[in-house]
Amino acid sequence: MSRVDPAVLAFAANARRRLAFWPFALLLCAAVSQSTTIVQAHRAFAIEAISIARGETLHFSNQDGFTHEIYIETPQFTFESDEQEPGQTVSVTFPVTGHFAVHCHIHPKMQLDVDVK
Amino acid sequence: MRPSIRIAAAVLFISCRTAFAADPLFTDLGGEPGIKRISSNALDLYFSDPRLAKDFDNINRRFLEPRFAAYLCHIAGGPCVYKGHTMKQSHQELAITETRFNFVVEDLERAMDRAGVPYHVQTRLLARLAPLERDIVTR
Amino acid sequence: MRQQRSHVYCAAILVLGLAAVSHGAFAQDSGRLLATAGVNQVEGAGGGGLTPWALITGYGSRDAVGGNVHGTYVGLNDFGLGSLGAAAGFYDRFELSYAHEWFDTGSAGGRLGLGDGYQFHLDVAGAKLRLFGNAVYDQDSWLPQIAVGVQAKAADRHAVLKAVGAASPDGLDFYIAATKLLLAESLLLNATVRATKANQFGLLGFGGDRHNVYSAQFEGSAAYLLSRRFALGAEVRTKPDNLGFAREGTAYDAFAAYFLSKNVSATLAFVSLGPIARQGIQTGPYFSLQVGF
Repeated sequence: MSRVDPAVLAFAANARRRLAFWPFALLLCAAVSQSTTIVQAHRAFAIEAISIARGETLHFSNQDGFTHEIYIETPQFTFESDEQEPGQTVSVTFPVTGHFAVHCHIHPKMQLDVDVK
Repeated sequence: MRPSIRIAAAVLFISCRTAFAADPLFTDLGGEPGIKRISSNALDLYFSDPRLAKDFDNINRRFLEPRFAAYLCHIAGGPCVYKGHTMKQSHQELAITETRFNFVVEDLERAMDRAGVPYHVQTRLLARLAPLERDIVTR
Repeated sequence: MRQQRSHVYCAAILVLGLAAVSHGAFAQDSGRLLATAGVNQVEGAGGGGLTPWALITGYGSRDAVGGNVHGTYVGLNDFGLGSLGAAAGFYDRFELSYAHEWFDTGSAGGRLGLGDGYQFHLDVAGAKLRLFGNAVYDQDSWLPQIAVGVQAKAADRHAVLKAVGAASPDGLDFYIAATKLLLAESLLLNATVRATKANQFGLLGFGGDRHNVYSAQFEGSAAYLLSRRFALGAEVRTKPDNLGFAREGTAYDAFAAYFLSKNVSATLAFVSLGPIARQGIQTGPYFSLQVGF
């Protein structure tokens, strides 16, 4: 092998590590993007509807001054949370595809439409 | 039984009775059944009062009623334990005006009328509730 | 003539103001609780029948305005006293009032050399400012609701007033009032201290040959609420005694006030206004009607 500048060799070795980093980083991003935070404030969800993939998790973050108690009630999927005090987060993973409405037992006007693909 | 034990038992019995003696206001309001009736009447009015439509359109009555009754019971000196949020916490984001606070008071008065509470008992309860205006009215 | 014109202008301004308010120029909500604005006293301010209270007239909440018109008649042994007025309350903080009073001497007018049915008139323009405290909500404190006020008064019959020794036909009364509602006891208490030179409320001018300085007068009211709509009470109002020609004394009343709604209230009372113009102590029925929002 022709003589290669040690600096270049070092760069090449680091580059391999850097190249290896990217797929790992992409996997990490993919893992992170499989969960989304939904804020609860002013007795409402911050958004009205969301589309997610099967198996994804929604984290409901109570940034309201009020206690909430979210639930989902459909033939394919049900979920009941305990009372969720201000500051608490409730996580819901959606294992099946379909259309699901998230409600609050305490505040009847709160609704989030979740479309699971 | 030895005399000293009898005396001790009598003192304990009397002090327990005194400690758990109901606040006269709680008794005069009809005790727990009276408070329940007043709460039910009041919520009937709140949820149907057109002046209060925007204040009660996003709260589940089944959640509110037991807490409302527990709070009234507690403030009337009854043996209930109120574990909910303070009046300040539970109202601070609702932008309640003095006028809507007063409409709630008026509906509570009508609720007590319907429950047969005499006027001079009503004023004693209202006297304990009136200072809450400072915590509840934020606009 | 000038004085009569000015009182007509005053009346017109207040009436127009009330009309503007009632047509939505300002917020109007009738948001205060029934009976918590009192009625109107003879000089037009919000309060009892004889004395101004710290309460701001009208049913407007702190976010709105309220107002009313009132008519009062007092039938005395030898005289008749009437009052017509209007008052407006702004944001539960500030009050303006106007009243026009007439004092009919009846046959006593003849005895006094004025002629039977001779009338005296008094215009009162009032302003009141609530300083602090809330009589309704401060149930957990001894602090009363406190207000200060002024009543600008102008009497007519200048020549007669001069003849009886009055120093001036116009005057200013200043007062401070403290009102406390003890809701648990269904009791309302008021104490007012007034600095005044008025003779017979101002009907016989201000200051006199006996005294021509301001004096502090005391006015007290106590009312018991029998129900949400009905109050029984009594008042006392001391008066200066400035004129040499006739003694003047303390006024008292015992009243019953009925609040039919936030729009209408009526007050019936029995009053004693003390001795007036050498005709002896004057007592009789008092009737007042208030219509407002």
